[in-house]
Amino acid sequence: MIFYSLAFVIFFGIVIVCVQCAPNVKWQNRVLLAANIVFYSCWNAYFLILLFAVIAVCYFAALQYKRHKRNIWINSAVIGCIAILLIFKYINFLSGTFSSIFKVQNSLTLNIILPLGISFYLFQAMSYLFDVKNGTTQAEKNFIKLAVYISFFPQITSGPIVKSHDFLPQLEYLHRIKKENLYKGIQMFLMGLTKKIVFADRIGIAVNAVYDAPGAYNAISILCAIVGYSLQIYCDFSGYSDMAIGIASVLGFDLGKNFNMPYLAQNASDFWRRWHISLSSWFRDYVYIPLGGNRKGKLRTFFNLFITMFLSGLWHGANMTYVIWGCIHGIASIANKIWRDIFGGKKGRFGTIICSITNFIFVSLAWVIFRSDNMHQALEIYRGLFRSEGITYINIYVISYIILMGAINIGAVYKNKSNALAVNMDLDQFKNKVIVAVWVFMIIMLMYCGNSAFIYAQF
Amino acid sequence: MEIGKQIIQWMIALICGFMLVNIICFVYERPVGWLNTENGASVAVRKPHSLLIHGTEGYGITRIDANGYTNPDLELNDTYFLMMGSSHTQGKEVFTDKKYPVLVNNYLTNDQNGLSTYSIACDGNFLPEIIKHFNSAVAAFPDAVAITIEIGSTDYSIEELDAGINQTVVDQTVVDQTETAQLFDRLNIVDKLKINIKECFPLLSWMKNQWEIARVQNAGNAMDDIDTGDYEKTINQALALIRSEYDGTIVFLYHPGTSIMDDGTLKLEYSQTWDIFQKACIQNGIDVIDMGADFAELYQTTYKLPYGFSNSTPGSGHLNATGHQIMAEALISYLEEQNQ
Repeated sequence: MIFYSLAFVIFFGIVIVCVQCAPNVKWQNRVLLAANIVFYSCWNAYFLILLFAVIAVCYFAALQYKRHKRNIWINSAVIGCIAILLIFKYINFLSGTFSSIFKVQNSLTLNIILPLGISFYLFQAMSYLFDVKNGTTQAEKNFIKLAVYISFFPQITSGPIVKSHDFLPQLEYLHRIKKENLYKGIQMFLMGLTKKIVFADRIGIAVNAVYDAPGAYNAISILCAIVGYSLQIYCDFSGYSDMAIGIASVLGFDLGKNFNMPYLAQNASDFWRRWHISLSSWFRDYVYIPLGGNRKGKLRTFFNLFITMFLSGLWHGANMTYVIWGCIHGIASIANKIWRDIFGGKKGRFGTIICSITNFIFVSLAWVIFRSDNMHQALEIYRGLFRSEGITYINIYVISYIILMGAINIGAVYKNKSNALAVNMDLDQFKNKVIVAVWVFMIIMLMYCGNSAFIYAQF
Repeated sequence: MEIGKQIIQWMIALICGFMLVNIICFVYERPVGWLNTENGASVAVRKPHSLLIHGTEGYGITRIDANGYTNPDLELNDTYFLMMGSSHTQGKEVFTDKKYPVLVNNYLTNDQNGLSTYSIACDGNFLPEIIKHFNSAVAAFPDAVAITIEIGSTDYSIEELDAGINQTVVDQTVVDQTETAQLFDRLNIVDKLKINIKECFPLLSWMKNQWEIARVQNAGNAMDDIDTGDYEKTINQALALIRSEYDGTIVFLYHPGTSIMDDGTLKLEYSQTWDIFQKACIQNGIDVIDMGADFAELYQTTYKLPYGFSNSTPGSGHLNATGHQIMAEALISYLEEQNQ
């Protein structure tokens, strides 16, 4: 059930009515859990068992930890979560890599379906366990509340990954549909929808054409595809996040911010403070800082950075391209730290512009590895940047949307100190209603109606 | 009271929003009145003298001629080549001066004051439909010195070909080329209203179109394997039929699909039944121009593709300006050979 389907509109309408009618918090949470179950069942009801097994294990482990204060409960549950992730997502990759390195026959290839949103809900589950251990969250006595948090339907398939200490307190009070939340949610949803079905899906056509036959295109076409993919993945993923945040906002829930003008970042570290913020902060809070962060000397800081980025790359998928992509970002983050240590961090306006452009070039070139099926394809794309012969394919949508996004980014620099511009019109005013109506019909006119699976749903 | 006011405001806002975007839609995608013609020279005609704008694949503005087709609005010469085909020949994705029927016409007619080629192509006018309407087309355009038939596929089921072979009886009043405007005038008030809504509110048509695209994309499109024995028999019957209905030259202009391989080479995608079809043409005294070699040569020498636009995927979709140009060149060299 994708967010912009008729089925979801009906489903969400029913959820709103039921939440609005809930007499107390207890009933509200029951309604939300029922909604989560229905939403997830629409994809695959059997994997609900796995989802609820994870919730049950986390629930039980946290309560036992609270009672006995023994780390083994939390550690066991975290290992359990990682084991589930390994089995469903990485087993074939690990066995394949092992057999190719040691030249042995791979006898462990399993034919398993990747459960929808597994990387997202397991990370939320682990967030809960870590928070209980750190004392930032109390072990939840109410199973339903914990289940609502881990399986919350707006974000279960592609995030944002909300931390338990941010979300669980929101289940303590009764949510009523408020006009300001509704207006904010509608606009956030429309923004996400525009990014996804108008921008990302159209650009995807052009990018896929080049990536399917990289040897056929000349340098300018390859360059368009590389920049196009940077735009596509941003619009695709931030579009989904905006829709999820908008839907949650209508229900009165705050899922936080997941993107903040990532292509205005001035270096790799800054990029990760702006890109998939919920995942970056998860790795920062639960991997980088527990490893010692930057408190144990320079070498150890570099190591911690590298490991964090390596794991971040691996999180995205069971493929060597993701691992290499993560490592490249790790190396870039280390290089940035070294640069700052030697030259300091102060820059003038010109320096800031140069840094943003350089970082965008780096990020876009790194996306090539992320997008490619294998390193051979990635290298073919890089080679294509130096090819004068081949098909000249400059997609009009890619160029138009690059110009538009460029203008939005420049606007963000001048109007909001390089932070995302919020769209929050007062829909009580008639002229704003007309703007929203024009916006809706423009989406209908310009949307792409072909295959439009979310890129991040596969992770 | 407040809710009532809000609802009214939203309704007015939606109407305003629709109207504003509808205006923009006029330059993006504007359909025109369409009338299926059971006994016509092709499956349908468009409303004469209306302006067809197509911007979702390529970009083209086409003025529909007096007969409801996409030709320049000029008088037909005493003799002419009749060009049948589908949306490729129609060329609504390119401007009029880039369409291959017009390019051939420009070659044949130096003063360009009349038409020496006349295209009766329209969307969905594929091989079975062309066979079905062939007799009507010959009757409607009796002065045609040759007929060219553009096809992008020869793979059709026996049922589809049989439906083509069972031509309906020609109703001369309907196929008469001067009657197209009257056909639209004769429509009942509901159908006229539908056409006016379609032309005045292109956004509505586009929304319907988007819905259809989504439905088709989700449904998939699988072609069953064709029984070659049955196909050979049926296609021979169909080609023999059109041969018997017209004495002049008939030439099929076949353009295979293309796809780009990951090593950068061009793959020509021929129909499963192409060889059988070609053989049947020879048996029935019908000429065939296969564009495959021209497409391959074009790609090898210039890296240009006959299909696709800068707002779609290279190598797929409709013929682009380059595709039209190469089709025109092939047709012109065929005509020159015939002359010699």
